[in-house]
Amino acid sequence: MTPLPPSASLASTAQLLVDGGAELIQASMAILGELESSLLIGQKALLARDLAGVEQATREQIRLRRALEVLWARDVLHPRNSDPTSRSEPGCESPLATGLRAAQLRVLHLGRVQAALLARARRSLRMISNLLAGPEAIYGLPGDDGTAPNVARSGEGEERNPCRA
Amino acid sequence: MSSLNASLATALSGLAAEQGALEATTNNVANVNTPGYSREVPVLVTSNPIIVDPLTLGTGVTLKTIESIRDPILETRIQQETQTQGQLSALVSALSQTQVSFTSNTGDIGSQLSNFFNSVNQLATNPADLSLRQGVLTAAGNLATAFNVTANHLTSQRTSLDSSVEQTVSQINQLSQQIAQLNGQISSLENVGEDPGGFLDQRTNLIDQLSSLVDVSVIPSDNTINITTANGTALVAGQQSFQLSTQPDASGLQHIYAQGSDITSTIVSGQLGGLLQARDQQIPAIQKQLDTLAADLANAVNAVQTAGYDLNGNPTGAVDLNGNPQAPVNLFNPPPATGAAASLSVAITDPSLIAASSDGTEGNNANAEALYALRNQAVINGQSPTDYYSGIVFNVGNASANANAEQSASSLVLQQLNDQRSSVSGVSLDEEAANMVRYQQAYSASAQIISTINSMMQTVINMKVS
Repeated sequence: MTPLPPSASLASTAQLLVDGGAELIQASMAILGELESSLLIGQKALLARDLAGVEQATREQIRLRRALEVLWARDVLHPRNSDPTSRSEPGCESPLATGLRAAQLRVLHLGRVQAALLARARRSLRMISNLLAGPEAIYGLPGDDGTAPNVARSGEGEERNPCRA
Repeated sequence: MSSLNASLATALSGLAAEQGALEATTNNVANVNTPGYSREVPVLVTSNPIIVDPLTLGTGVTLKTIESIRDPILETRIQQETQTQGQLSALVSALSQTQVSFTSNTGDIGSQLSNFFNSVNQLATNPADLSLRQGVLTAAGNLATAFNVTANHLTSQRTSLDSSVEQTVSQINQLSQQIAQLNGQISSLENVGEDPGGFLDQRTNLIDQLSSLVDVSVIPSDNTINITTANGTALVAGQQSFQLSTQPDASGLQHIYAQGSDITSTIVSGQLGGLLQARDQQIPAIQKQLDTLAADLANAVNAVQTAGYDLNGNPTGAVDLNGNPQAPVNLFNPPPATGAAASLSVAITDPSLIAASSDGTEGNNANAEALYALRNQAVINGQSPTDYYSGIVFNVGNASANANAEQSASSLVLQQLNDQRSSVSGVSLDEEAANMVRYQQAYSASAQIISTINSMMQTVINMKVS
């Protein structure tokens, strides 16, 4: 999942809390709920090494991230409260705002879990690619196209052989 | 040509084999809910045939062994993930406790820092007011206490982690000993061709427990296994276990020794790895940051304090009004090189000694303003005190959140691996029911053959009699 820009996220969250705009918060929570579901689906796909599932979930997460950006950018551009220094105290948040904050934290946690699972999947892939590479290969990260490192493609070795007449 | 007796023996071998197979099924069904149990399957082989020229005649079936179904690669992956899980579990637990010290409340350092500067700001409005001066002293005392409490909490947490290290080493030793004993039992059974399935399950279970405590490698060797830590320190070699021991270093923290060598720094995984990571890396890093904040803040405040004049017009610096050297009147006692946060304390009790004035006149507040200005000055590693403290809080929270997420990811992977193990080694009641019917039918068929042979024998006997 591509993370939300922190500055945009924080600014808009603060604005949401200041404004207490129920509609905006509800819309945000709906998108965050979808994001949460998508992240859970992505995790299952990652665990099952279902690449198509991972790609589909990632596409969905990017779409939802953009939807959030648009929603929050609109609110930042047209704030209902013109005083940028005002901040609502945590104890004075409305239940909706508290719910929004909780949803954000859940998504943040799931995003971190997703990142941890991706790192594990990457390690596993590297191990497999090293196993497949054979003894002549230099061990390393898999290539961009998913191939094992330094695995000679058919014909490549012959073309590059300078000793060949 | 085959005799009836030979046929009878063949049928009997069928009866015995099916009975043995049924025993395996019975054991599987009995252990359907036993954690860590691996399904057993009978291995039936054809008995050696006999050659009666020109025919080769079968002699029945033999129950060669009862095998436990295991996937060694899966077992290894489960052990590795269990180590990670153990490490993260210990780390998350430690960081959660650390986080409590930095949770925003009325007594935390952040609030007291804010209160202190607010009290200085109030003093600047009326520098001669003794109650406001007392307010600054009280706030400075509260700030020092907040530092002391947090630092002491971190120290006691390290001590508690240290005790856990000792306990964990003791648990590791117990498990190593039990595994070594089981190795002996398994070897004995395997040497006489018996199936040690039950003992293997027990050993796998103990290895899983050991993996959750320390990073281990399991190396199969003939009929036994050897277990070493990740860096190769032997824990179990066949039927012998090697005990780890703990000894305190100069600072009183327990170090782990294996056969005389200090292996503390090589343990990175398992619960022990997590405990050591929290005790030797995470918490000391926070303590260091806290000490930096306390020392730099105290020094910065003292520098301003000793550049002014007290309520009586006396200079608070190192030189008195007559130009003679004097002991500077600090607000905070000069912090020591290490442990500044734990020992931070207010140096004065007389509020009139606070240097609010920069020229010695009673109404001058320039030095109080300078003291207040420290709030936003980059006096601690290029950051203001508040920003530096926020950085500490962020680091603690971030480390905790990351460890939590890693633990969740590890739990998911471990769950998946355990599910895979269940599908490979677990008991399926449907499958066992089908096997039961199969063995029962084969047993009945063998019995029927025996009955038929018996009848044939009776016929032969009757022929002789008649």
